[in-house]
Amino acid sequence: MAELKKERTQVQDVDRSLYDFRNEEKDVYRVDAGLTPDIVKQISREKNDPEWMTELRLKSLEIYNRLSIPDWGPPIDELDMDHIVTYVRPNTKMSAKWSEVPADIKDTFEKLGIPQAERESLAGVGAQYDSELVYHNVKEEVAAQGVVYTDLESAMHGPYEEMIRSHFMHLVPPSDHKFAALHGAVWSGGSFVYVPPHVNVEIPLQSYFRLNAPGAGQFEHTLIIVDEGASLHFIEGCSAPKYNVANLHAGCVELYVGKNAKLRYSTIENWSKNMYNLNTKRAIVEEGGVMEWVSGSFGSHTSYLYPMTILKGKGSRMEFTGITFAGRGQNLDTGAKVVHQGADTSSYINTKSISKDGGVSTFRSAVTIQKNAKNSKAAVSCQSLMLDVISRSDTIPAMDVRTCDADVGHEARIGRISDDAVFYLMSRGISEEDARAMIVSGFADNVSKELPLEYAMEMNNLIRLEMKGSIG
Amino acid sequence: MSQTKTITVNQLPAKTWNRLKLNSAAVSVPQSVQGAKAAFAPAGALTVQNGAENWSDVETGLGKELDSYLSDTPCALVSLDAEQKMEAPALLTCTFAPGGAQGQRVLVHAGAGSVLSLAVLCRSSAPGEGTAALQIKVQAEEGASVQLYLLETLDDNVTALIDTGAQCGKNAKVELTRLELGAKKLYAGGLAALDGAGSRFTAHLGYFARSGQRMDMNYLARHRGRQTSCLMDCSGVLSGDAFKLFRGSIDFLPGCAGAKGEEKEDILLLGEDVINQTIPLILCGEEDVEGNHGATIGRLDEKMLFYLASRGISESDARRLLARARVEALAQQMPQVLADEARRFMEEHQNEL
Repeated sequence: MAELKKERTQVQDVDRSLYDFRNEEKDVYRVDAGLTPDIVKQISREKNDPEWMTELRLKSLEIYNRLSIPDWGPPIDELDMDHIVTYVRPNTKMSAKWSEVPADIKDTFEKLGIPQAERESLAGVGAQYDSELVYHNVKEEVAAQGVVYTDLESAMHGPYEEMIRSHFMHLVPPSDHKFAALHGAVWSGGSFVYVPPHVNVEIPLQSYFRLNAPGAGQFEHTLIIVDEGASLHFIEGCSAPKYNVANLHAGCVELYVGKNAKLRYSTIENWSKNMYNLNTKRAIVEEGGVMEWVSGSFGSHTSYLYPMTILKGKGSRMEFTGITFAGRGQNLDTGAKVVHQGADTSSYINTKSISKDGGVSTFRSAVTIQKNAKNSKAAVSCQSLMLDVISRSDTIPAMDVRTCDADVGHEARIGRISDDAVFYLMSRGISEEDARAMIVSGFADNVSKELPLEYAMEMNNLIRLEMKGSIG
Repeated sequence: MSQTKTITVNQLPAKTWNRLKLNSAAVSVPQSVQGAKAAFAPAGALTVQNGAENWSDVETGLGKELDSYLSDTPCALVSLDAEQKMEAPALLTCTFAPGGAQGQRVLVHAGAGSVLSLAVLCRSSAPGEGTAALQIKVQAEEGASVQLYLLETLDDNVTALIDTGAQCGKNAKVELTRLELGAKKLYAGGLAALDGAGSRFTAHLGYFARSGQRMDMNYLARHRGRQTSCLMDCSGVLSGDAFKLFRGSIDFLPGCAGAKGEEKEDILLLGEDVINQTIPLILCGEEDVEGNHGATIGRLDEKMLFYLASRGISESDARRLLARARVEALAQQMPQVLADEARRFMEEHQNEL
């Protein structure tokens, strides 16, 4: 019994030191908490926005004030925008050399393994700390192919301004929902990627978002354009230390996949458990293009996250592979949306979710097949695992089919870890805790096998961390 | 022109994106509602009495606003004493006349250990616009077995609200077999509260929606007791520009350890302009459960068409044949009187396939 009690204590005090460390704020620039036209104008001035962007911000604020909060998802009543600081700028400028990044910030990213990953397995890295990018670099050989990977603010003042203006918040308009409007008003940071026609970026680019400031929001915008016949794998990572006050992440990702182009967008989200993660991601795919999402959601107090794909072009396709792990105090509402517009399009949504220690996991999806999407195919598969009696797991998949020339399949399954499987592993000398962790890792295999090795290992470590002390 | 009001029915037990317009349905109904013509042909030891009882705790698929709307309509209490067993089903024919709104409530009480069988035919007396509302609530006591058959063949100008709800005691079984064929706008619902340990709900649901028809359905199995089980099996055909929305939910409440729920939907799309919406929910607040859902939405199988063509059957005939086969599969599970009525209806409407 004493052993069991000890294990229980470990559950309550899970050591997340890998992500849960913080730096003191030194000489940072903060706007006041809250959301007013003056604050929005102040952010716009600080960022030296072009006029059209200032107008977009103020229009977005108007829309934000008009829209109401969603009445269908997890509660977000405790998120008080009057106490959220929407812009926190570290006391440094963006650099292409880690040696020029302030030591404490550099140490943060060292601990998270970013410079090492850059050296070993990435074609370029962007690192954002609070509201601004502090590091951005792309390998010379990739840049030589004409690939642009830079911060959005710089790009907006250079030769790509028109390209950004004609794409920025066109796929996710501020009127889409309240937090898209919030994003439009106060966005800061994020990356711009342009891959020219027929360029194949063989190793991934990565952006990492770190929110250090307590009570702050992070609103980075990622805009990726993969031109005709090109291909790219983009990885997004995020984390934050845990505070006793609410933090907010309302980022926005807009992905344009050209004719016969291919984009894979992988995310390992590990925000701290005081974070409201109200993120919007959307892709539009032209003829013959391919969009692949790989998504792991492990962190956050509350999440609303449903990457959406519009299959506009004939023969375009998408695949979404996701896992969500909801532990104590977490309410993670995740899933995917797809709209089939073009003929001969296909989509496959494959998700797993795990609920433990009172965590709430909801899988939510929407598959829409429009009238012109003749000969389209869609399949949705979601499986949920309940690890105890105090947790909760819901699946809410919607399908809307408006042509008879389509085939749509859906399957959902919910259940617990098989006692027989645990018994079998224990009979082979494996402890019950390890057996359960092993089964859960296997359950998550669909996501981990889609990630580069280092990220798959990080994900498996996260699962082990979450599973620690699950017996007793 | 009588005054109308709007009632909200068929609410999902957990909401989703409002823009999908799946969370509930708003129905415009005449403010005043008259009694429908209800004719019983009792069987066995079944008794039928008129008079209202308060069964507000028996929830239904359409929901509380229909309870309020029908609160002044005639109510029949159908009872079978404990341990009594019916050999053949009783028949209730509800006939709705055109013009205005007509409603009927039926409360079915199955005593402990009884076996009750009731067939319900819901039809129009003549063509014409109108609102038809029928609500059937079932209380199945411990060990009771209730079979409820329901066939709806209302006129194509009618707005119909056809609702069922069942409350199941320990080891009680409720089996619902429903076929929806008529009405311009149909709002259909069914809810089973599996309160007693070991109780079971089985629903065999079918529909055939033609051009101009709109069918909005909401079925829910709520598992409260241990070792409860449900199977909801829905099969339908959509042709022309028919619209169909099917909400099917399995709700595992905390404490329903050992519960199992399964839901299947198979939809055949025959019309160029059909709209098919499906939202199958599994809500789970209990670890020791098994819940499964599967949906297949699509067109006629190419291999099947090819095979039939090789036997000299044209594509349009093959469509009729396969659509009728789906309806027939459900009709065969119904008492003869309802099966014959369903076949007659399909015969009359075969050119609309």
